[in-house]
Amino acid sequence: MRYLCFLAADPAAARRLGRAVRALTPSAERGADCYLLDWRGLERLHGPAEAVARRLAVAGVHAGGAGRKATALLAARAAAAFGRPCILLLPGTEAAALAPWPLVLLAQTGDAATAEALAVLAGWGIRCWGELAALPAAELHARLGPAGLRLRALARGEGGAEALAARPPAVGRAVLRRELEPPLADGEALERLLARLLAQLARWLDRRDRLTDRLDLRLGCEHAPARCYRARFSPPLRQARAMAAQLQLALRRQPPPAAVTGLRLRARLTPPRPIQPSLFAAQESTAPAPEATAKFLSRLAARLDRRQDPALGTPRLVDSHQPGAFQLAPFQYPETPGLPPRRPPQSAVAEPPAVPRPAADQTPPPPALRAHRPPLPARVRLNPAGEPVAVATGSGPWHVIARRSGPWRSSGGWWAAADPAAALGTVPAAAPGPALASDSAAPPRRPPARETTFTADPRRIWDWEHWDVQVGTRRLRLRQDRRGGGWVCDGTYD
Amino acid sequence: MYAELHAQSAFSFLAGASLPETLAVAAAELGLGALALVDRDGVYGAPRLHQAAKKLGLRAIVGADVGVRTAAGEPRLALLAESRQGYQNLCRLLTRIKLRAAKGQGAASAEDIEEFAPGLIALAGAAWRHHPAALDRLAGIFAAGPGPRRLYAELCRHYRREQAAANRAWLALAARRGLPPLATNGVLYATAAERPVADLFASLRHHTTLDAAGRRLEANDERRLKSPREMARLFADLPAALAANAEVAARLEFSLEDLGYEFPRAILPPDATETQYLRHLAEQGLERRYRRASASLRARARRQLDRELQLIAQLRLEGYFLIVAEIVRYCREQGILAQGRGSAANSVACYALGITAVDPVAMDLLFERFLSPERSEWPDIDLDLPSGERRERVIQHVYRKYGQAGAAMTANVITYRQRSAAREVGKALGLPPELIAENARLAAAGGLGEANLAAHPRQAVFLQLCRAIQDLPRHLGQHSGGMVICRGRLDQVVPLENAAMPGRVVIQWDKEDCADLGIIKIDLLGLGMLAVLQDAVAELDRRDPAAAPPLDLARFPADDPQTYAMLRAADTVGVFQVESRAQMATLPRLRPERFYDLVVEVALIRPGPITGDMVNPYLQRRAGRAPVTYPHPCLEPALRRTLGVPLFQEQLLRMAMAVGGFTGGEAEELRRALGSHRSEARMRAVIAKLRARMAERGIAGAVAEEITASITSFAQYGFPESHAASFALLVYASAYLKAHHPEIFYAALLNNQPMGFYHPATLVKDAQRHGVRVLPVSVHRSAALCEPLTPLPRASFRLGLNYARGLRAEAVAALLAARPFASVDDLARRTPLRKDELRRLAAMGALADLPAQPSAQERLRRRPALWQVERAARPSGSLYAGQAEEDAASPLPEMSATERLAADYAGAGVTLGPHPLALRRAALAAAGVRTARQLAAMPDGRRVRVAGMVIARQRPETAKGMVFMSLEDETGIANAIISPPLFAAHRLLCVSAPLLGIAGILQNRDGVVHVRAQEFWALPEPVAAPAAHDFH
Repeated sequence: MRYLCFLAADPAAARRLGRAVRALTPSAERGADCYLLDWRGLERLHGPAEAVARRLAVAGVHAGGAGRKATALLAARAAAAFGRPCILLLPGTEAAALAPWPLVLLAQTGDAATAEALAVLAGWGIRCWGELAALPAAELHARLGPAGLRLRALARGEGGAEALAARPPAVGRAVLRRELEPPLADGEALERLLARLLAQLARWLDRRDRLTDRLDLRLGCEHAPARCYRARFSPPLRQARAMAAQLQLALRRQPPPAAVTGLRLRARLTPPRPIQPSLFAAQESTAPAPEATAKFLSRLAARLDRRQDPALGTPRLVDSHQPGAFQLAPFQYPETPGLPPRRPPQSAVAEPPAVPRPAADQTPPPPALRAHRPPLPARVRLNPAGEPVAVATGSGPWHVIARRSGPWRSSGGWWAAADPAAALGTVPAAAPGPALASDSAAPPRRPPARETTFTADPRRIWDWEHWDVQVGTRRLRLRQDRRGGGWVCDGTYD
Repeated sequence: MYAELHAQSAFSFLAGASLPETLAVAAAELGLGALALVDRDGVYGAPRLHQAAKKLGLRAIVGADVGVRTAAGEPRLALLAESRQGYQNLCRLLTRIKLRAAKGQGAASAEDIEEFAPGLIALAGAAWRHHPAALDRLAGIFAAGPGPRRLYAELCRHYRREQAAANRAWLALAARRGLPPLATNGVLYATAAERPVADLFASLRHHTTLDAAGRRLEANDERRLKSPREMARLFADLPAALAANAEVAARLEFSLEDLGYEFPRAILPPDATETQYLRHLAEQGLERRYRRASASLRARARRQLDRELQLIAQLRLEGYFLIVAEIVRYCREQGILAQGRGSAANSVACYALGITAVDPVAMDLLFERFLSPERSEWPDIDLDLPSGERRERVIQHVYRKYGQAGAAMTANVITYRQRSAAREVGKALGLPPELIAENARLAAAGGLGEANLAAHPRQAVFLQLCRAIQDLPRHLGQHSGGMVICRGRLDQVVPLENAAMPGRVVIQWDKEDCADLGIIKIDLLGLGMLAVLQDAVAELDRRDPAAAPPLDLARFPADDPQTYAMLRAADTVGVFQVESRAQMATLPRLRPERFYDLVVEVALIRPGPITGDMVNPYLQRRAGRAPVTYPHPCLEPALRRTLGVPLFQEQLLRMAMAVGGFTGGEAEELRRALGSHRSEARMRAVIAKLRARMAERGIAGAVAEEITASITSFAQYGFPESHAASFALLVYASAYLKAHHPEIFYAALLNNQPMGFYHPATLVKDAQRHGVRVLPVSVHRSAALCEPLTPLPRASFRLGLNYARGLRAEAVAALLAARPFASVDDLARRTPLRKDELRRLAAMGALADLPAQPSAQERLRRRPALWQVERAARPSGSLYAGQAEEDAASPLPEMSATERLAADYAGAGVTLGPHPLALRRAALAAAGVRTARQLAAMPDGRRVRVAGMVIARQRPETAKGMVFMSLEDETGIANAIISPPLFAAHRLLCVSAPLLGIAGILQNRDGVVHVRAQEFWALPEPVAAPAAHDFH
């Protein structure tokens, strides 16, 4: 037989199959889930096709062989459907061998016309390939058109010569693995190994004209839990040195707790972007070079408080009534002038809808507030009407409040509470509310962030009352958490 | 004192979070003097607030919130009714907005506001500062004419910075235009605890989740009802706003007590009053009805009629009766069967006018159940009409007669139920789709509780929200048949709006609201069986034009022995009201022999008598196994007809009249007081009155207590005898048809699906088992509908093209016009049938009347038809147009019996060939499985195995968790009883297997056969069987 087709039943089998096929020949045609080999000329190298097919058709791989490509593919699919390792059709015997096969196998050959033709054949009581093969061609064509004739030809073992187009992923992941024996305890040696792997990765990316915007490094540790590191790149890149710089910084900041027994490096791929839209683009751009920017950001992130997650990013307003609510979005390298705008990334932070400034509101702009981050703890005395009359910030002295404005109340996020009734002041809560639960049943990847106003999360419960007060010559914004009762000074007005 | 002049209830759909009653209670508790309900684009909740406020001593103010079209948008304007004129104008304005826009949309123009401004006070909110020109126009409109000002600048303060800034700008602008400020709180909910519901509704309204809703939600929970003291503190710096509030509240005097609704006047002959005309028509009708009756019956009927007409005149209800009689006359003229149901059948006046079909004098029914001087309400006459186009014609007649502004359907408030709440709350909380589906499934099964929910961090919130929105309004629908008519303009009494159904207009209130406000409603209800009977009578008239009168159910001979024999044998598949499993289990025990037995049968199998434990005592007495006793000898006349067991509401009245000397009206009041549970004090008062009256007549002690207990408990479940009698007429008529004209009966049943208890497939098999020949769908011979054929040599009917699934109406019309066809090719060329339609017709054998070959006589079988259809559906193009080509003979194999069965179900939903169980009977018999017919001959207590297609599953609320299942095989229907634990253990199999085998113990007593299930097994199904009718 001339053609061999191999089908993998699962991803692990697909990987083994891929290695095995590449070992046989570099010119195998690759489909979505199969490999097709033209055995002409390979017999001398590897022996008869039948023997090779039987050898490879183990552990999740099914093989089909026939004189025609499409028939070989169908034979492989039949083998998978029947649970047989391989089905090999000798030339001249295809029609007889195919005759008892159920017609439903042909459903996998794909398009809508074929599906409709198969439905009509089922309605006609045609159950197997032999019955289809016996139908008169002209009458079949008059009824089912070219799709009918094609199916009939397949059923007779006279299948077409469709090529299987290889479809390398435009995006996806690249993974490198290394098992280390003996385990590696030397940090410098580990860094050197990492540099070599990253160089290999860079060459791989270069060959495929791909970039990466994220690297995940997982280090298996001897007698200790594995340690994971992540580096993000904005803009995406493929320079080995830039990739290595970030990962090395991460390793130095948090070295592995034990000798490393193995590592897995996974790169998230992105398609490349044109970097020079015009002859003068490089001169017009005033942004720092992407590589330098990425290196700078990684160094900056290494010095920040890792308990804040994320600790570095671009502040974005959040559509919420919560005063001052914002979130940090991943930093995006500025667009090169002249380039078509990049599709905005998937972000959990929604842009707040534009609020039109009413023409009738001729009020002057409000004064700027210099926010205290974090807010200053405050002590406040109230009058019988519940209005603040004196304030002390931190351990400082008391100051009489000369004027005040408020209260201004805002609350929300009650749906994140275990008891929504408790969320809105009817029962004071002892601790800040739980973090937002993810929409899936899986637990959130990160631990809940502690209460902080660095990155106020309006999706958590809040119930606040603000007062603007004048103390001497200063004007302060005070805030009371109505759920817990505590007071803070949010900031000072200019 | 402060009054809340701008509160929105949950009838501002998906905005307000509290029912009007909840707002009323909260307002009263806060010490508010008055509350204005200003719902969006309507007065939907006004009647409910009115009723609740009355009980609380709160003043209810009527208003609505409308959008006004300006150059820059549609700001909202709150309109409050100052007087009846203002209310009428408000209703007409809302009607105009609603009728000219799509459902759920609409805004007023400035011209609309100007036209309907008199009698209204308007509150313009801060949003109007963006529409200065429109505001000036408004100011001009509301400043016109003498009197105090009628446009105010509404101010709300919700402790929001942006709002404070907006209010400052608004106040300044309003002051420049001389608009005084007026304080309200823009209420969306009664208390802060309901704020989550308002947020939920906001996210649903914007089709987003709570997480993503952002500033579409409210900033805080301040839009609640506030006390006068709180509002005084809030507006301490602006006392003029509070003063304006109090001043306006005092001026808003209109109340729904002053609605001004009047029932229309009937159209009378010249110089005749309503009283005279009604008497004339009633006496004419009486003559017609009792022409063949005995002299004594005629005399009794005349005396009764005189009494009724006198009472009707006393209560000034002549117009109502005349109008209903006019509708019935229209039906008669149009050849549409109509029958009054309910307590109206107690009235000989209704019988004489042709409104009802039951002779109340011969049946000794009690008029006071329908009408009495003591009742303070209008009578309730409901008309049953044939469902479908004929009923629609009657509805449109009422619309035409009373004008678009004079008649409308009553609304039906669709509220959140467990399942709908689970779906929508789940989406708003962003739960995963599979969890939403699971929660909804649990909700539908009544299992939504903490113990059953899958683990998820938001499930607790989910459950709380579901409970919170239970019974809150979701949207307004249309009642199935209630119509309101009015003298003059109905749109001045209540706003009208378009229903979803074209040609229909609804009012903004439901039937309870109408009843509370004294608005008369006439129910025009669609009944499938009336449509069947109408079709049947038309066919009988066609066969025998000399038979008279047409369209009268009385034409069926009374007391037909064959009919009663069929009923006693429970051979009642398709028969009105008595085809359910429970009815079929009662008929052999009750053994009806005359009409009144059917009246009892209809009333007996109801939740009331079942839970009141009256069914078995009656049947035992009827079978002679228990003595017939009465609690007191004076009750014998009232209870004799039901063997001492009270079944009917009329009997309660008679009992009260007999033991306590109550008048008919007093007895009816007693029944209503005991049956409604609305007022404990009222119930105690009437019971005390009953005891006192009994004591006066010497009935005391244990006997009095037994009678009181009997009356009190019976009041909950009694069924109107008149209603049962009306339905019994239809039972008898449909049974008579089945017994004597089965081909007409089944054809009409199949033409009026969906209706009844059984799938059409079961009806067809039942017909075949009765020897009726059912002919298949044929492109040459079938009419559009199923057609009974002249019953020689045997009863037969042909399935119509309505049983070719997926056949478009235009395809049917073209097919009927173009036939006959010489070939499949001819059919494809001369009709617009699509490929899928041709395939389906071929597969179900509908092309059998076409020749297999152009020159051949042989009929076209299914596979060859499919072979030819496939070529005919791919035309060869204009080059070869008109050239007939001889097609090669089909090489395809013939369909097997199973394949034909599958094609039948897929194509028509019914099969005329062997039943699915017949195809496997040999194997089943070898396994000891009996047929349904064999069970009847087997002894009680025997262990049996039976199998069939599951055609019905029931779990009635009265059955304490027992499940009843009906299995059909080729010989009939077998019924199984499944205990709750067994059902729970085999739930999936019981609810999902289309073909099921059951092993258990046979119960064969008094002609009733059941299998008490012990084991189940599923039969493999080679074809997709019709779905069972499942009732829970």
